[in-house]
Amino acid sequence: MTERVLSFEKYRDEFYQEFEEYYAAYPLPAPEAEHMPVDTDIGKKAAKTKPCEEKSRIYRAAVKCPVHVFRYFPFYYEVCTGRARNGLTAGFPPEPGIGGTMMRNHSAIEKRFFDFRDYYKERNLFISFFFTDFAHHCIGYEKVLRLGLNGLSDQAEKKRKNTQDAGQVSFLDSVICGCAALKRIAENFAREAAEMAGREKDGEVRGNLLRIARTAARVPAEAPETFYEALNTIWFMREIVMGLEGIGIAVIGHFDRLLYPYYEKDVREGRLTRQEAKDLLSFALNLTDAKWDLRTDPPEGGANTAMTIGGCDQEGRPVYNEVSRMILEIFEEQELVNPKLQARISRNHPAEFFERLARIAGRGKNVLSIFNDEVLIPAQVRQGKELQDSRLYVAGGCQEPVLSETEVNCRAYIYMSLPKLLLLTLGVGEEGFWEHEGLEPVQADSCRDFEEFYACFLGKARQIVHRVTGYFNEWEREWYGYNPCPLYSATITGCIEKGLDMTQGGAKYNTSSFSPVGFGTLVDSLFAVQKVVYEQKFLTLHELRGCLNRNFEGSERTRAYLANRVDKWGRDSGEINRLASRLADDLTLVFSGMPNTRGGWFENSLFTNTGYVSLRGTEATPDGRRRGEILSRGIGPGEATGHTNLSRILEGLGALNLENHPASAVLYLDLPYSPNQMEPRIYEAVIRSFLDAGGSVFDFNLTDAEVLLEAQKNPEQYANLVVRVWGFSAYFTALDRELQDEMIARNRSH
Amino acid sequence: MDGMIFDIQHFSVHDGPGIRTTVFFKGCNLKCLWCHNPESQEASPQLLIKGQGCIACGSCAAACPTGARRLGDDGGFIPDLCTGCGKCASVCYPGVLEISGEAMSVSKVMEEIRKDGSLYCNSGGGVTFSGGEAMLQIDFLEELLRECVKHGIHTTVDTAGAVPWESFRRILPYTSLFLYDLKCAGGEVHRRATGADNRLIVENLNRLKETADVWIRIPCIKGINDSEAEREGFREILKKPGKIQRIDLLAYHSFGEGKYRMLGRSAPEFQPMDAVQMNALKDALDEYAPVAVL
Repeated sequence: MTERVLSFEKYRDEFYQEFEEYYAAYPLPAPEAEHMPVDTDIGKKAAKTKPCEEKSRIYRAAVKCPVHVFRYFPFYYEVCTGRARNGLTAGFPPEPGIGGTMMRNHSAIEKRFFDFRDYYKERNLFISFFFTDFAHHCIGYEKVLRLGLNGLSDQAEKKRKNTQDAGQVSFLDSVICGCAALKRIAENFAREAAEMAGREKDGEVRGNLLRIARTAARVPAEAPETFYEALNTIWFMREIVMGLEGIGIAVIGHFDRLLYPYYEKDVREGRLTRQEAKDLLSFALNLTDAKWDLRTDPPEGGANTAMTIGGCDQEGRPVYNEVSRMILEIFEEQELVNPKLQARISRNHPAEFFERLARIAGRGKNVLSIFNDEVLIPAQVRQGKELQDSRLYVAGGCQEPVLSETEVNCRAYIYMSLPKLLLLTLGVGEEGFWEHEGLEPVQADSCRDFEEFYACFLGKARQIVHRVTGYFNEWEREWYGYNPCPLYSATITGCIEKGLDMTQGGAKYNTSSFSPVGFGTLVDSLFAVQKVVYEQKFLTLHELRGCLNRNFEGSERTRAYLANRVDKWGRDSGEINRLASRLADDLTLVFSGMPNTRGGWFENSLFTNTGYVSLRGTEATPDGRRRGEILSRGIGPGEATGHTNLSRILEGLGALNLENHPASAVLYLDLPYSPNQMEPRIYEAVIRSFLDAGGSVFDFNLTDAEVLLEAQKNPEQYANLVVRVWGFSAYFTALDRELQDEMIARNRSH
Repeated sequence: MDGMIFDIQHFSVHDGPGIRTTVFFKGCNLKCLWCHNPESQEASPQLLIKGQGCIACGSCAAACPTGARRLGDDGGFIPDLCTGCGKCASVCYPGVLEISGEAMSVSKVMEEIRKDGSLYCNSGGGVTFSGGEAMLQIDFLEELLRECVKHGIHTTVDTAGAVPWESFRRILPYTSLFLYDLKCAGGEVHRRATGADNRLIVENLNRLKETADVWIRIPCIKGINDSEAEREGFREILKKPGKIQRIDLLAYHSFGEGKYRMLGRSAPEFQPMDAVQMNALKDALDEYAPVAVL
């Protein structure tokens, strides 16, 4: 590199200001591109056009969209496709701009789907934003870094020569078209940067523009060779492919594993200093916070950008290197909201890694999730995935694990209320449901003991879940016609080889999962039934049903008994932990193993994201929870159980076999402490004990209720206070009041 | 052997090194005016009544054998008649009535303590016996400490030191660390504030720090121990031979208020020591050991 890398410290303010000024005007009208495919051919003939051909038109249109190069930012990635500033948090509803064109053209499916879904939503059985997961995908960055676009295109060309199948040809043509379009776009960047450099007076900025011009002429058409080129390739692919495909690519990659070889080579050959590499990383990690409007109009669900560090490589060697260190330094030194820092840990990692993570946690950065390799890798292998592939998992938007380069999955799209499954078994809130489903109602009153009741519950739950799976599989068949993603598919192992789009099961692994919400509420409720109905015979099932149907009105003493006199998950131990352990295993039989339509299967997860709030309308539950009170989150205790009792939760975790949950089981760990209140080694101990207990994933959230209350009163003084919501991070003062209040209430109860 | 325990708190981070489980012994021989654990003072079980949550079901009154608990507008409780038997609390499902103080066996306490082994191990933590005054139940304490040592658990005893030296002598072999509370330095000030002289406390401290690891803990309260004379007095006490590992200055907090209400007592009104005095105290003492302000 002949030009100096822009100093992040020197240019940070200019960079943020330039982004703010530029993106404040978003969405820009997409010149002709938006209209071209709609008005000319597709409008009426859409039915006749093959989906991939329809997509190719978008790729071609993208080449005509202007590109934007920033003076104070070293990477090139912004194509004015008409996309929104806070775009693609979920890929649905469709983005403005050309990325959403196909979905808008085929929007008839939306109403049909919503009609179907709303029936269940009204009954609080499940919520679903859309019929498939549009948000939590990961580009096969490894493949692009290895082969460049030319390599992807060549692979598709070769396959195309050897196939006669019209569907495959259509897909491969689209891949080739998409790669060509991306290369043309890179050329547009090169031209634009060169022109800007010609006019530029500031020497350092000119240097930046010239490097962009020179690099874009070659990369990512060719495989990147330097640290800068590799980092740029990641952002180029992530932002532009997302803008064209209209799907959410939550994962920006396993940074330290992907980038270290380039860093090491550059430094060895004298091309790059550590400070320059750190400056580049700083710019790269600040992109999301600078681009998005996170203060005045924060997106529900966050900016959907997650980065993985640590973990291991394909051979199982732990990853912790100079790039990891620089990233951790940046998180410690700066106030980032994004990307989310997804740290994969194992006992093979050096103490330094734990110490640095603990410092970030202890300072209340609240952007950190911890992933336990020792549970999550075996969990993938158990599903029949190859060990070498399983070692390369990353984690989408919130906590959804996905194998980098080899897997396309749908992890966060059906949030099902576990307590509602129990209530249906009990005969609460079932009006018309069984007839609607063509299923036999339950006769739980004839159960002679808890074992029979438990079996009855599992059986019914399984029946319902399988029924719902069938519905979603029908919808999934429409995915290809609605929005195929050949360009994205080209980066994933298997798609070109099979000549199949990712929506049709092109990837090597194609998994799905339900998000079962309210595990803690279910454990507590089942335990209450066991104790109160079958052992103490305090109530009959009939009487309990009556209480629940009346939302405990007139049964205050019974409610108090259920809420306070029956053991609770996460507060007590022994017997209830045994029930939780058994239930977590049995739920995998309910929620996993069913085939999807992409040649894959459903896997189990225990994470809730927003579901614990959205499904709060679930009727009163046997744990004493009233209708309208939120459900439990992740694998955590019920919300009425009191403040986080870490000791009891770890004990409970130890009882669960989380290797059965490849789609992750999440502990949302709200610790009621102020930043810097405790020594970092306390947090280090928490992380290590989490490993010891065999936990799967946990989110750190330091939220002292007093501090949050102060922030509500004086928001201007707490503008940079970052909190963890359900799987994403946000400025506390920018959250809506209800969410703020909920967070305060949760952390006040101690 | 049973001991009278009123709380076992997991994940304590301010009662000694690392992550700890703190076992609170009921009964105390000092009566500090600002006590933030008022339920720890009496050695026997006591009824706590919460201000909210009563559903007026009447079960407590029906269960009370002495007529101490009755239905009425006056709060429905006659403390003089209460024997602390707990029959009312046992039928109070909303948890408005609660008995503070449970006779627990050594093995039952150990069961609780041993649950947190992983946290102790990873943080360099352990168990802390606090109170009340844990050393008033010396037989029970000694037995617990022996058990902890047997299981390799780091042990800490938090004491105000107003007990015979013999009690210290018995537990010395099993105690890794003492948290030693110094309330006030001047004898008369101490007597007024805690109801007892501090001569024994100071003597015990002088002997203790020659043989054991000791952290000093000083509650910092405005109008009680924030005078220059007190500051000098603390220096006098701490400058005696023998090593102290650390000094914690604990700013007064009013977390105990609710407990006073639940005991039917009015809460004392105190303020934390001003920051200026707190810093002066820190500066005055840091030649004897590192000082932490908590």
